[in-house]
Amino acid sequence: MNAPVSTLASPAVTVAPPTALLELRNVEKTFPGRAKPVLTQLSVSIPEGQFAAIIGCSGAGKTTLISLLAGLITPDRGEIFFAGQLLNTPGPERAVVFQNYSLLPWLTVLENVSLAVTAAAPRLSRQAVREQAEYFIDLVKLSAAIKKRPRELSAGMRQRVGIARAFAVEPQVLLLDEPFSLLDALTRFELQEQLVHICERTQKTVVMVTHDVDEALLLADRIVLMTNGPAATIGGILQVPLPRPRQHGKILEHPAYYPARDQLLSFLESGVLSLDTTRKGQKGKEDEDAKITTLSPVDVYELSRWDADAGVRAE
Amino acid sequence: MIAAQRLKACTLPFLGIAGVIGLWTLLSATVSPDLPSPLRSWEESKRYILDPFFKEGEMNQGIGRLALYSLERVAKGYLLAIILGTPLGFLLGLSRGFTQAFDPLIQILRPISPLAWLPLGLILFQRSEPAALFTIAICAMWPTVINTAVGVRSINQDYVNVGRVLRLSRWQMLWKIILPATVPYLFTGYRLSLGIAWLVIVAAEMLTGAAGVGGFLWQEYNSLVYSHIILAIITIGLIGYALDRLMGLAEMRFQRA
Repeated sequence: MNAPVSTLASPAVTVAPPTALLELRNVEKTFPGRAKPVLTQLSVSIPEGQFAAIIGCSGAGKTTLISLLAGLITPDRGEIFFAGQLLNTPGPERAVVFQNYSLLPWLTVLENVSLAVTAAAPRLSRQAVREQAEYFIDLVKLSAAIKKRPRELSAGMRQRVGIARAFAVEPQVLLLDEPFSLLDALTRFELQEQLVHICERTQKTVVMVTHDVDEALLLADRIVLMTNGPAATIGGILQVPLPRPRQHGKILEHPAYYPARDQLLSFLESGVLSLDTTRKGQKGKEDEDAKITTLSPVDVYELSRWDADAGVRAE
Repeated sequence: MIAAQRLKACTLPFLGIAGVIGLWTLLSATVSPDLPSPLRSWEESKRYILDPFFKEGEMNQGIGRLALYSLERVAKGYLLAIILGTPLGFLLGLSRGFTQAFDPLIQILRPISPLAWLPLGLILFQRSEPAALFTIAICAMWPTVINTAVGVRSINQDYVNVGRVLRLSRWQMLWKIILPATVPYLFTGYRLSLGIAWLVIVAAEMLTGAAGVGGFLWQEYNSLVYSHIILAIITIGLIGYALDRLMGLAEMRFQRA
């Protein structure tokens, strides 16, 4: 079994250019007609193979962040890099699972997934497209509903199609925008479990936005905390000290679970972590297994570079 | 309770019709002696109804046959209207520049009566039949144009985002996302357009004297057979209603939950 990942020794460790797959540098985004930016001075990098959860209260600009990473909107300031390239358009190498599923209602489950397969691999034969679509539909256990249209499916089933569609383009990064927030608790549990299973198997790089602390702890290798909006930025980063493979029931028994959870919750409850009070050195309570390091944006940036290089993912 | 409501729903429409027939009888008996009474109308028209497809010359034909002529004409004009109107609507919905260029023009052309278009059609085409089709098409296309444009503009941004993330080409985006998402609006436009096409047919036939329900109506007015005017009016109304219901069914099929 994996040992709990040790947390950061010192954020001052700086190393050569990052190998991170996704990297945001001092990103700022203001929507037209708004005085304050939604996001500001936001820097974070996500190394390949990592599952990063971005957690924050509603209105913290989480969906904006996902849209930026997807390339659906462009930042006003700062840069976003994907695989070393400046990112400015959407593309199937960064698949998105949308909060409200966004299935095309006039297509069946198979057609919805097939459309994605064809778009990502236009040269594939009809037969191959179908096989690949069926494979991913099977992965989310929807083979029985393959001919159904979205309106005939329950919310949970719809989001499973959304997940299948995202995986079916074989993306380098999977972007999840509060994928389970509209589901009932039971379905959410089931889908989280499925997702954790698929992600552990495929070792996909994932960025998931959520406001659910338990969901983040179950799924993520690293949790990025966002301060309250407007002008939200990154307030801290937590390495999830839980071994993989993870299961709902099992992780609750892990001694590091509740301390980590408490810290996340207290961060969310305490609301705004203004930058002045979160300078280096004023860290949250220190814990053996987990701690939130609250730092200025620049420090966070260094920090994320650091764990990109150290490859902190639980192997 | 429910049974009583059902009974009401069944009987009240008949009561309404009976009331109007009563008023009609009263009017023909008192202030408008030229208006044939319902009974006389029926007596004079029943041949046209009971033998709807007889033919004795150009204008003396069963009402069914006349209606078929009109329907054929409407079908042609209406087809023309949606063939022209649909792409125009898409262009308006997709292109801001196109909208700025043509929207004012459309708003001006839209309220023009078929009676005004028909002479222009006659000048353009020299013959009455194409002029009638032109009039039907140009009057009937606006609901299709406008509904299509609205449908394209109000397309759910989520669907567009799906297409963008999959990096669909402009053409694929149009065919796979925008067109299917617009279908419900399209059919609403088609239904309204058909209603207008049917309205226009009467005017077009009256002015061109073409064989059909409208032409029959005008000819019978000139020959002072007023009961046949009523027959034509009722026929026009019933067919218009039937067409609307048919298109309504088609529209329902494409409405989504």
